[in-house]
Amino acid sequence: MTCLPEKTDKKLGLLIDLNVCVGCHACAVNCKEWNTSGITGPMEDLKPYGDDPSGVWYNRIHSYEFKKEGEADRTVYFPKSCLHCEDAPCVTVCPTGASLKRSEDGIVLVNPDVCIGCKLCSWACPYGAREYDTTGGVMQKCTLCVDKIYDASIPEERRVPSCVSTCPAGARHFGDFADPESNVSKLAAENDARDLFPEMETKPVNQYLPPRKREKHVERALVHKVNNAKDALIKWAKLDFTG
Amino acid sequence: MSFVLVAVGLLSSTAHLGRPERAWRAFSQWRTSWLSREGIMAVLTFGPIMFIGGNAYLDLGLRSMVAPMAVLGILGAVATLFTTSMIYASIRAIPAWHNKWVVVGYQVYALASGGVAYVMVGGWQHYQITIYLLIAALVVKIATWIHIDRNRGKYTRESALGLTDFGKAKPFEPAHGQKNYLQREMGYELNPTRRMVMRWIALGLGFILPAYLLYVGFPLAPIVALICLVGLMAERWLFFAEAEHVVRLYYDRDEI
Amino acid sequence: MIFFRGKITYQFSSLIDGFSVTKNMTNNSTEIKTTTCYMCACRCGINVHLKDGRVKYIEGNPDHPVNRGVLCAKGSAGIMQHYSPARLTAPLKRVGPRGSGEFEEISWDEAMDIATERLRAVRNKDPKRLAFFTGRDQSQALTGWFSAKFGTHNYAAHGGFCSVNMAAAGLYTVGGAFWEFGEPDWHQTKYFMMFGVAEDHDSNPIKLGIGSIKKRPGTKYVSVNPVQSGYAAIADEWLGIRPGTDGLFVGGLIAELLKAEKIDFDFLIRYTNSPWLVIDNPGAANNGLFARDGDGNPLCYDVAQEAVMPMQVGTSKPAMVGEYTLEDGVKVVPAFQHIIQEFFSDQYDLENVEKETGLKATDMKRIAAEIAEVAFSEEITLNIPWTDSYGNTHEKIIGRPVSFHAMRGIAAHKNGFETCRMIHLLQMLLGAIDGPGSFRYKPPFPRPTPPHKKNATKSAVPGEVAEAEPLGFPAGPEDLAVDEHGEPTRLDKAFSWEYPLAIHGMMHMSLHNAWAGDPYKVDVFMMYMANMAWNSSMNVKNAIKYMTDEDPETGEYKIPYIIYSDAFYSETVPYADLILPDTTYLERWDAISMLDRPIGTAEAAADSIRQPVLEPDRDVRPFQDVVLDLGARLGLPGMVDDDGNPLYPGGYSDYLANHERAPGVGPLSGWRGEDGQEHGKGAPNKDQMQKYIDNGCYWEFELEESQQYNRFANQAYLETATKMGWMGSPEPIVLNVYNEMLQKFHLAAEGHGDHVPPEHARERIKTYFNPVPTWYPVQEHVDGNSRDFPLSALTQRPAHMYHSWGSQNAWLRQLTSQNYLYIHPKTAKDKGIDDLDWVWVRSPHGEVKVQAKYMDGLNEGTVWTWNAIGKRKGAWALDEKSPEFQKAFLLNHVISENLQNDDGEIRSNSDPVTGQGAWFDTRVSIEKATEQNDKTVPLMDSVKPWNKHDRPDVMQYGFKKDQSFEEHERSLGVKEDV
Repeated sequence: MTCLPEKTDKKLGLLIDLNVCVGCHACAVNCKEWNTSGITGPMEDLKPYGDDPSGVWYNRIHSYEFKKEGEADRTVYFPKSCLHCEDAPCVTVCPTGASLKRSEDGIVLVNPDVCIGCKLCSWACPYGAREYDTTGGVMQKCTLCVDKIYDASIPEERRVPSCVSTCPAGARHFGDFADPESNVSKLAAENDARDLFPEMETKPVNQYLPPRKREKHVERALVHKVNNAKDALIKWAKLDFTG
Repeated sequence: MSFVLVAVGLLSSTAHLGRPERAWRAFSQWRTSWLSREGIMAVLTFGPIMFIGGNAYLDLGLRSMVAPMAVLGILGAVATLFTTSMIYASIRAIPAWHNKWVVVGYQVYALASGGVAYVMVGGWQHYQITIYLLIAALVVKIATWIHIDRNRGKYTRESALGLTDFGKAKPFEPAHGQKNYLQREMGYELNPTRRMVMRWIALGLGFILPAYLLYVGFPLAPIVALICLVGLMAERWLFFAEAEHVVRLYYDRDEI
Repeated sequence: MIFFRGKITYQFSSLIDGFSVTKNMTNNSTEIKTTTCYMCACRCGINVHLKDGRVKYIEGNPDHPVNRGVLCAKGSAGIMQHYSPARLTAPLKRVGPRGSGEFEEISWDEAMDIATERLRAVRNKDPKRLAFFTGRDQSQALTGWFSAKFGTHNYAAHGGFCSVNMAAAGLYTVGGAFWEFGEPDWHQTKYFMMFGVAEDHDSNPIKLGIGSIKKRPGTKYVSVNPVQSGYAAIADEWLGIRPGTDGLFVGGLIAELLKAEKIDFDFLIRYTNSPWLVIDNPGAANNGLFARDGDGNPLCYDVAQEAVMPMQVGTSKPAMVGEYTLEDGVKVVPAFQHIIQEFFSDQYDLENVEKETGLKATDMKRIAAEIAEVAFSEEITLNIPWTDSYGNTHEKIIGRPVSFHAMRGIAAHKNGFETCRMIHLLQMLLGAIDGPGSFRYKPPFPRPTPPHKKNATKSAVPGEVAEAEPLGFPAGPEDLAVDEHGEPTRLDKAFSWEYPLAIHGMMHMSLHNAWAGDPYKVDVFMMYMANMAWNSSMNVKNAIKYMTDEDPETGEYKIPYIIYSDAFYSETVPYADLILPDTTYLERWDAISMLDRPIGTAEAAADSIRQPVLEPDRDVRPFQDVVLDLGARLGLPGMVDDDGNPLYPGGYSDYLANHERAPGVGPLSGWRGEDGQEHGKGAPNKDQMQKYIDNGCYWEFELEESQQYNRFANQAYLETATKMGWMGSPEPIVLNVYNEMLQKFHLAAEGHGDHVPPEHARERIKTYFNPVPTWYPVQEHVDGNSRDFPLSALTQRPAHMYHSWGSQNAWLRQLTSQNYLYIHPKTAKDKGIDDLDWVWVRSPHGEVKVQAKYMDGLNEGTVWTWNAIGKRKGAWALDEKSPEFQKAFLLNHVISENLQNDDGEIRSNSDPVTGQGAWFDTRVSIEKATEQNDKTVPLMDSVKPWNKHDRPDVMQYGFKKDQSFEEHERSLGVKEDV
């Protein structure tokens, strides 16, 4: 049903730390290999060995260079997947009910058995989180690995989305943003977490921690005690440097 | 005629679907989805029109019912148009659509072009109304474009990234080497010259020329209708071509 | 079930032939097998999820010491590598001309017969006429051993053109090096400095480590790198240095610290040879060597006793400077005095350093101050008692939490050896080696300096085994592989007077030399997973010429026979005469052995295995099995029993469990002894492989905390290391602030001793062999061409393809299928080059047309690109219109393996000490191309396309659903869960 739940019991989502992300694409590829056999897979690849290879990816890693007057330029890697918005416009525009936001945990999903592939959700989403599967004629998107995080056959600490369990740098955190005591809520509160595109009024669940501000360098230097080899040889001659 | 147009409209709307055989499901989400509401309203509007058409064609003789049915049909058409316009106007991610001018526009363009069609099939008796409608449409269209042009650049890449305090951002390495679905679907780049040419075509052929021809009493009404249609096609084309989606901020646009 | 759908004709890929697809399999039918990843050189533990005999999912093994459960993009794309359409399917015999790609499929019997016959003839005639070079081979303990048993010393792997400078400088200076031999103490360091581009050898551990540093408040991470990408992007400070000048920057820091007396003198006295007295007797045969007493003990000048005495750590109070006289009147100075003389020279004045490096003197001063503050004011003290090798007990372990890491960005320069030594010297001066928070060794390192392993200096006589393994560690001029005239005996000239410390060989010269017959010709050239006809060679066109040139006299190819083993249809395959197709990494046994390049961490020794998790569905064999089989067919000692029967009929896994290199020492350290109770040393255990499998395919031996630090002189650790077989005896390893061995080479060049270089090599040896690290600019920065080619050109591999084979991989190539030449906008605009313009890149060696792209985070005098994205048309089973062929390019076209200097002398483009290929010294000019036609130049002719597997237009890799979405979705996440 495309009515958004008034309130979800949990707000499961990702906290992505741009201060740590090195842009290695591990999350994107591991997501692909899990989800292509997952609840809304397969994730098709078009011309995989051809002249214009592309495909369905639930997670894509962008990168940007930032330039600010008086500061060193910086490169920022920017993974982006569905933000599982509280006010998800992709859900409400769906004419069929294929798009849904789960009341228990807030995860936004597309039911591929119902979707008619009208693509309106992809137009409604400001973040580009919706993908189109040409083979199935349906929309696809990040499932937050709903079929992994609840799988009791997986050891409990590994019951996190595959992008989180695989992230080598530890730039991705998973948890319940509705619980102020959760790891993600605390990290978000302590580290100036950001919403993407607040003007869109989507209330994204996923949050981003900004890169660490580069400190303004204060000139400093060590005091030279000797200035040349001759001084050093005279000053250090026969000194006892032990202990 | 309305009957045929509505039927064609409904059928063609299923053509762009990934799964057209499931189109019937689109009627289910009237509570939130303008697209669903549009489908429902279009079908509902079908009823009175079918009645009038059937009555005339089969000569059922239910004349007393025609007037109320016509009122219902007109209301239905207005409502359908409203739902259609709201599909677009509700999408915040496309600033060119997300405004009241789109809603107003849908109604006036429909009325004006309907007026031209009426002159063609129904004769010249109230053609002045059509001229006024065309002028109104012209004004609304210009106002719409002024609105779009004034609001261009309101959204920035930095805001899309949630990083407004790190200076100006420009793309470095793209996420993928080749274009993806989003870039293919939403990446149309309208060049400014073409924009101006198309705008003049839309205004000129869609509104100004038909109004002028009606005013001077140009004898071939179907030609006027055809000119208007061409202009409106340009207008429709621009409506989509100018619908820049904010997702492009993550890709190739600094601002939208 | 796997879905492959062709867009026009529906066709099942041959990939699924032979697999019966069972419907309604539930998730529970997924089987998980552990093994070791081989998508790059990082060697992570992986859990491979299998269903219906197919790979469903690959994830990091959470218990594994290397990756702790994480997995990078390469490892996660393993499925697509395993099912790549470029996989070879059967042995191939060339039937057309070389390079044509005309092959006929033959049986393994025939292939092995051909290879055996060829090799037997070589061995009976002159074993050195077999050249055996391997690429990113992780079985070098086997392939090197095979070469020795065969009798050839013409063997090496790809280290010579990768990072040997790093390994050699580290091993000869501090008995360990970065990556496999040591790592920053990621969890305790407070100041971390990383040098260079392309530092992803240790892919996941680095990411884990940097991640932990970035999350720890108060820890600073500085990146010294011309390019602000990847790891450099998240550095707290980025220093966009000019390539090839890092050594000078480090030297400048050393000079600052010396002048400010911010030096850990206590560390230098205890654990380095700084106080040792060096003979100061210019012109004499012993000049620059350590003065020793009659028992060979080094001497110092004791300031309390006011006398020259044997150095006794803990007791002596040695002078660090001064001139002293031995009893026999010979003048001596403490080694440290040489450091002072070097680093107080004008070269290291920060104003001069600023000029060369492009870094601001004020920034360098500040950084020196920051380092000194962390090292000396924020030291880490662990209350762990330990005893040093000299009998001194210590209540605490002190750490100076400043750490460094560097790899290929530093190594791939002709001054790379010196730059690496400079970094290690800085570490020693700070006392920041193997303490909490500093660089820490990974067992079995540290090892003695110079390392105790002799290399073969020549090949065996016909039919015999070689005196030693091909690669080792020269300890002086006497260990060089040269003949009586001092000329090279190895094909690649490694270990010769030209490249004395080429401890990884010089694969990048091997094809050239075999073609030129310099120093001699070979009969068979055998290669394993090295793409020498493409991105692994400098100057691709020449490499191809070397393989296809014919000898006008004989009409034969100049390199008469080429045997190649690879799993995929690479650019090199068409140039071989015989192809021995290898399996993928999921179909084989392997060992990451302590004898080779083990996977330990600072806290634990470890090794691991690969086990086959799938059966090959093609007529291919693991190369290691093939090597053992070849050895058995040739009757090589160690590979056959007394009756001539194969000693390891079970193949590589049989060998791994049962082979002993020395009594009790085998490829694998875990579960040795007949009952599997012994570790390190012990008799072979027939159940060893199963033990590994039961333990997740790795073995880990954690050191007690008191044995985790100061291991160069930690008595308890050294005894453990000896017991485990890592060291011969528990002797302390004295760190080399002053390198006496290099001085021995210097003396030889002055004409001293029994082993002196030939006249033509003397100046070079004298110039480049110095006991104290120094910095010099590389040839391309100062020669006659330097003005015409003003830009440095660098390459790096994207993190998602580093040390990997990405272009054939359906997922990875979506990430990067075209490379651009990144250029600073200022530099570009000066030349009228717009963003995305096509430009010509020229060097004295060639030109290539590429698409340029602006990048701000880049040294202005540098351009760079992703390496090995460009591929040769027809290779890797890609469609001929692929961007890899049309738009992507190799910078290799403008790099040469030979350089001519201003005097007309031609030398390898390699470090003069180690022979390391100097990829990053490349200098170019750029010019906007007149023809902006979206096509790279050169576009080489297509090799014959490989079409053994279908290439679907639409691929849907996945498993059929057991339930409807709704059923499945409703079953997930009942409210009280999570």
